[in-house]
Amino acid sequence: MKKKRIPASLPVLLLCLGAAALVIILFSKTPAQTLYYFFPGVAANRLYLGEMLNSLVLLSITGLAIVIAFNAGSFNLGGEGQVYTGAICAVLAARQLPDLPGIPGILLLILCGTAGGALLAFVSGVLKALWDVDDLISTFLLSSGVAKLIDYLIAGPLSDPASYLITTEPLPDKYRLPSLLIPSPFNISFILPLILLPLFHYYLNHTRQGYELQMTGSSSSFARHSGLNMGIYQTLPLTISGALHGLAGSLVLTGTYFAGIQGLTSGLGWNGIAVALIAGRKVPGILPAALFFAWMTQGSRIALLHSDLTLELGAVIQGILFLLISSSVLRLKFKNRPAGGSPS
Amino acid sequence: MTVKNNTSLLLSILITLLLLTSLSCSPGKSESPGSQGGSEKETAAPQSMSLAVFVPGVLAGSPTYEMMDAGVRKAAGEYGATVKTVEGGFNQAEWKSKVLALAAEKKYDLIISSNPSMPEICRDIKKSFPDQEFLVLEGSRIENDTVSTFLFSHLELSYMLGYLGGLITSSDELAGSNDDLKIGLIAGQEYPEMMQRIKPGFENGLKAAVPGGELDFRVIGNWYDAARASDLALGMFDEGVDVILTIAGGANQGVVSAAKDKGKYVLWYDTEGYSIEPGVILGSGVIREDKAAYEQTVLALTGKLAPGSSVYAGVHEGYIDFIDDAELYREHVPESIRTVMSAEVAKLRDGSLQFR
Repeated sequence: MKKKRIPASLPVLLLCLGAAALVIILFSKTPAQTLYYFFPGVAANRLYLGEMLNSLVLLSITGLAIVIAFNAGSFNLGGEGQVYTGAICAVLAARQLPDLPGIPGILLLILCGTAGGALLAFVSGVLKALWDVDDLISTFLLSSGVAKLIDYLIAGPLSDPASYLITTEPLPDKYRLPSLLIPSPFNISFILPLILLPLFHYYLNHTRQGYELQMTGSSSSFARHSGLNMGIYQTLPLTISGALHGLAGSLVLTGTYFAGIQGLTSGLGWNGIAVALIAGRKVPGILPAALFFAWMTQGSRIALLHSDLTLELGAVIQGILFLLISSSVLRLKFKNRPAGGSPS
Repeated sequence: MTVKNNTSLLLSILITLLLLTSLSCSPGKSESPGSQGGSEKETAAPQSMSLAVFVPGVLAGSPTYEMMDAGVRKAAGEYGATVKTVEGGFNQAEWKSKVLALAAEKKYDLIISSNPSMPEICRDIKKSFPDQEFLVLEGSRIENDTVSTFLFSHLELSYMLGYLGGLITSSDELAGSNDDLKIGLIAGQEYPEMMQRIKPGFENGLKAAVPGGELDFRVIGNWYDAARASDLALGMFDEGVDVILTIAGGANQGVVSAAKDKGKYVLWYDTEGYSIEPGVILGSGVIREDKAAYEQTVLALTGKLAPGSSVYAGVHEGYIDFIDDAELYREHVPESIRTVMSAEVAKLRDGSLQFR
């Protein structure tokens, strides 16, 4: 009985681990050491563990963002730009309001970041609802364009003249989320996924709106003919998705980097998609999926630093993981549509 | 059904692999006891020191980092120290956490890096790991510094190249030199070193050679876009610029190809550049990062490198130079220019002319 409960992505995950181990055994001169850093080494000290947990928190938020959009039949490929927007909105808020006390200040920064990400995705949602503009394209293009603009802002008008890095001025100490595992960036934001994941699970599965949202995702023509307001279900899920990305962006700023440094998204938006795919596009799968992904990326980072694994080999391993993860999803897709329907 | 069969086959393969993995893991653990919880007991012998080189970027294709790595390794070889070189990649946002991870291992006596942005990162890490020592080449010192720095005088290097640029643009003997007294400078980005030292030094050099000379300064916005660099350079050549100093990393190649197409000239900044495009690259400076890295590492290995120490060195001390003994330089640059140039360079070498 229990066997049926094994999620479809489990064999793929094991395959990923096996592939990573195989690459290391084949190409590393000190495979034992490399493997140690890749797998158990992640928990070896507070820094590595804290960094891994921090990215687990962020990835579960961006993963949730993608899952919400997936469930409504929307594709949000603009996560990267929305995270970046969230971070820069929080930077702007901190510049405009430098005199707030700590906690309200942090909350306001996070609110502004969330609103920024939401606004960016809302535009794509409205384009889809009004003119049937493909959300997959519009989220991606919009986010790439905005990312360039933010790069310019950080390098130009907002840049910190005292720093040699391409970054905005650092946040004042009071606007920083304090670390719970010094010196890692792991902070109080770990509570957010613990609230958001059950909340959205409930919303999707136990509310009328959630049901209608999923119905739109399964078959938009059925939903339309059932009399649902399609405008809402084409904009709302994307907007929520953008808001969650923006939230992640503001958390990266207030909890990890403390300054709007160029490149701070570090693939958070894209990796959110990977997490959503591993999770089988279901909310309950997000936390384990994010844990897997955060562990693997942290493992490869540490192995890169401390063993003879080269930057390229690290990238190869991550590439293999992505390939395996996305191909498994392809298989699921074909299972769902044996007739070979139109590409989404 | 086949899916199920495949799954069980995969599972068995993977379980075997994982078993292998866990088996081979155990020696790894025993190799690095220092990294586990009880890190207070350092068992390393005092003689054999352990060094880490952090490259903010990648080694391949960046000669300055290769020179730093070579310098450190030479010193380490002589004193029996071990060196671990780590590449940080191009995303500057990730550098700090990578250096932090090196410091957290607590097994490196010294972490060596090279980049103007590294001191601020290392100072920050020093707050969490006060016992970790750092040496940063190309770094500027601050009051009460905790990080050792070694700064090269970019004012002097850019002065020499600006001086040569002035001589080239005012020359009657070079085919590509027109009547306008304009020279160009293309930078990857506007960073403090560029705006405060390289650009003013370059302009000083130009004015010293040709008092009425004019500088055309352009910024690409990144360090890789060779196409944009080429467009910028072509535009500058059309506006009367004869020679461009390019400091744009991977985008340099775009400037070189534009100059070749237009029959104009390029100055190279910090590594020997004549052979890249003979006849187009008329002047090349060099920063002897290997020498600085070697000497500073030897100081560290002999216990003479004080934390927070700083050196600011230039042409006179031998850490920066203009390469005038290259065959290609003599072949493509007219003697009249070389004579005036060598007289000016000589003043910097003997210390009678200094910019700090």
